[in-house]
Amino acid sequence: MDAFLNAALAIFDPQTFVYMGAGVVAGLLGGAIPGVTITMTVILVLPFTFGMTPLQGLATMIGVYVGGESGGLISATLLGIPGTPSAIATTFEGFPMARKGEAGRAVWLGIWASLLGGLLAGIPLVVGALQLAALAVKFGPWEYFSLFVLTLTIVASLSEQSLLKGLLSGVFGLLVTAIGADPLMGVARFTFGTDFLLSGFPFLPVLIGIFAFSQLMKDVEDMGSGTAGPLLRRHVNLRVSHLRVIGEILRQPWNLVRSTLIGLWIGILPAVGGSAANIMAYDQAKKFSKQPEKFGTGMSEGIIASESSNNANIGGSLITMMAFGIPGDAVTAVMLGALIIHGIQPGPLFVTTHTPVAYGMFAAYFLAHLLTVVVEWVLLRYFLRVMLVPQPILIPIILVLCALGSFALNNIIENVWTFFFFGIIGYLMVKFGFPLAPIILGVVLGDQLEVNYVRAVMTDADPWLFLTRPISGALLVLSVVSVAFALWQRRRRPAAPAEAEAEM
Amino acid sequence: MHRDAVVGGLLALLSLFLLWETREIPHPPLIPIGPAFYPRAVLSVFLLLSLLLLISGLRAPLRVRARDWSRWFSRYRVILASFLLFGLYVLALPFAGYLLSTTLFTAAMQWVLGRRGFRRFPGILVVAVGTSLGTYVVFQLYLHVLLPRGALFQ
Repeated sequence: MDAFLNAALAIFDPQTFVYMGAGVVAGLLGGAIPGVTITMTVILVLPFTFGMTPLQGLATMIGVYVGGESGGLISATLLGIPGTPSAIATTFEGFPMARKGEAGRAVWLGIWASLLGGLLAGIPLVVGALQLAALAVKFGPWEYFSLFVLTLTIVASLSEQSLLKGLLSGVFGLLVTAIGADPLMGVARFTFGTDFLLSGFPFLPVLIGIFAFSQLMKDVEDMGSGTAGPLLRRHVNLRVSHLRVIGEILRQPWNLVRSTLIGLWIGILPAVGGSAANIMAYDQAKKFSKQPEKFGTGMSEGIIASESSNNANIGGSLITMMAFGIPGDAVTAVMLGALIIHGIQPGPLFVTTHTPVAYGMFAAYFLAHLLTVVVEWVLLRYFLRVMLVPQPILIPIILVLCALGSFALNNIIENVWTFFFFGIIGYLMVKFGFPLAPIILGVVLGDQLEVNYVRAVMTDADPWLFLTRPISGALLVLSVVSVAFALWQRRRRPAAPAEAEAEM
Repeated sequence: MHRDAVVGGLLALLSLFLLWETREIPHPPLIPIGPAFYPRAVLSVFLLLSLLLLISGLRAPLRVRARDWSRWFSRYRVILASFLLFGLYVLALPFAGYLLSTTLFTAAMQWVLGRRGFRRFPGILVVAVGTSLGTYVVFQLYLHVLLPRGALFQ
């Protein structure tokens, strides 16, 4: 408890506090602007964190993350377009409610539900991350290897597109890490005589390229097809009795708890983010509702489910990231990259060796939720104006900022080429129906996978140990089960015909 | 033939090429697993999966519809132009320097994305100059990033 209080005090350091507040504002803005995702906002904030202390940098990113989830609901309710994919289900009820003249109720239901869901998930975050890290410390190289294999197969089997393409995407990510000096002996691999490739592709430019370009080019494609109904652009009355709104949420305790648990669980699953959580929580809320037929007309249950789940999802993602060094989603993947830049090796030892940073992150998580509500209380009206920046202005600026972020990593132009190269790869992958989450996971875990495999075999040459050590064996069996389950599920429910896919 | 077959075939060729390249990786003496082991293992899995994709693509129903290249082009014109423009931008950075290349890139990119016409010109210019100057101030002066100054100006 002392450690936690100390960490909380560290967060209240004026400088850290200001950075985090700026992170929250940036997150709210990025989340609110349609076409800019939370991942993108974290990427844009990233270069600013290079010069901060590790805790300041992470607190800022957590601010962006939490603020972003709330920002998404503003445009979802007031414009009818989700500002981020994690607010899609909020649109289903929030926009109809706002159109009926209850814009204030719709927005604040979302904001308060975000806060409550986030805070509720905070307790499992602290307990879960610490317990799992304590468990993971006992892992040997066999267990790590099997855990990473399981992670990759889970992500591949959860991808909505084909299992095969999910696996290919993940293995391609592993392949990217095989380029450059090998992590144990420093022998050059696939460098084709270049100096730049000797240190391998830098992780962050790869990540930025894959996510930013695929998202921005999708924005470009969507540009022509009808934009926001400027229905609620001006003179929106956002006044509302906060006590009544909070009371309305608390009168649905099961909905709140159920959605929070769904968000938490989706967050813990590697590389599946809030975009899945909010829709799943919304579906469940509808299923359990006494008036499911009224869904779609502005039901508070839907808003509460969607918004509490996407904030709880942050808690879950942070658990996986802090306990195992495995990203729970794209945002935590960027955070892992930032940790590495600061010379901190993420993984099960993170919580024990960098306790102040870890506890500071917990404190930042709680504080960011409170800060978000305060900022929205003050600035909500002004967000409405920024939400409607035209895409032709926004996209070039974001591209420049992404290029700058890649460059600033170590001031070399090759990083910008890496960003561009993987931007093309990411865009092509999306066009050909390959999911992006597995490749990111592959790139994050590749080196660790190799190091742990080699370590295991060097400790004991018996390859059967991967199966006979109980935890390692169980993880590998689960990995086979996850693939088998995905195959079985697809056989039962044949995928949509190929014609439905995007044509290239 | 489904396009997956083409993608699978290309990826299989890529993995074969890289597998061939692993011969170049030296094997230091006295260790059980050399640096070539991991790439070979990953590439073998990659090859296997690519071949599976190739097969599933070949078995997928044939698409009768002929490809209409002009429609394809009109749909992806802006995307192609954006990628091309960004490539030119990165090429220009070391020569023209950060300020000039960024101004030109943001201006041209707005034009590509449909902000055009004589009357919009001042607006385009304001955004372009504002972006390059604003980011220059923040990154070069505040964050101390050494932005490319440009061979032209040295």
